[in-house]
Amino acid sequence: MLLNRLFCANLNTLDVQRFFTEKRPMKNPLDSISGTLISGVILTLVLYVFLKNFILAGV
Amino acid sequence: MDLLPGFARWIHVWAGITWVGLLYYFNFVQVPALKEAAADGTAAGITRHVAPRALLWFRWAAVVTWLAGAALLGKAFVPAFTLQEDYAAIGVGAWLGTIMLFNVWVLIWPNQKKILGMVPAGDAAKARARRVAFLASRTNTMLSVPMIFFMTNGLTHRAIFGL
Repeated sequence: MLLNRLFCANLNTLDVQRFFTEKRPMKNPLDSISGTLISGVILTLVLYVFLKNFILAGV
Repeated sequence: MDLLPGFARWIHVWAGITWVGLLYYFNFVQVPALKEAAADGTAAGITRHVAPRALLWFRWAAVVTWLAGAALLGKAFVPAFTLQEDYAAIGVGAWLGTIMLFNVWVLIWPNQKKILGMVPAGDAAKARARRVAFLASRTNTMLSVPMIFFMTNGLTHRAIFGL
């Protein structure tokens, strides 16, 4: 029901089951330029949070 | 002695532009162009005449950038690499740059030599070298995003970002 609302499609139980069980090849984000740059921005945020909250915490 | 940081900063930025500029050239221009060039049989021009020259400037610019950066850090070299207070942000940038230098000399360049035929390699070895060099180059492109953030803000704009 929730997936139905989310995707605005007529999904039945089998569709949902198939969505979660079918094997899809995992893509490497570094294979595309956009994936590489988005990964870089995410890594920037992760390092920033790590630095601010763990390395510099209490300073 | 006060001149040293000024010269080191100048050379660091100069060489860094060359290094990262060529990294972006490889990733945004040469790799996509080579796919199309291979399809119409004109890839040899790039692999024989352009890539070796670009790689020469690329790998030595990486060394010069790192050395000038180390000179620029001076007494702050150890505090930066051990992420001590006041130097933690620039230290993260320094670590990322060091990992990128490692990738250039240990992963990209030895595999590019196989791909370009500078050292003998069979088809399977070349295919593997192509994938390793590609992923190492893409990893460096990804790392360049936080590296530039922490390098440009690590010492002078820490307060703005609360670092």
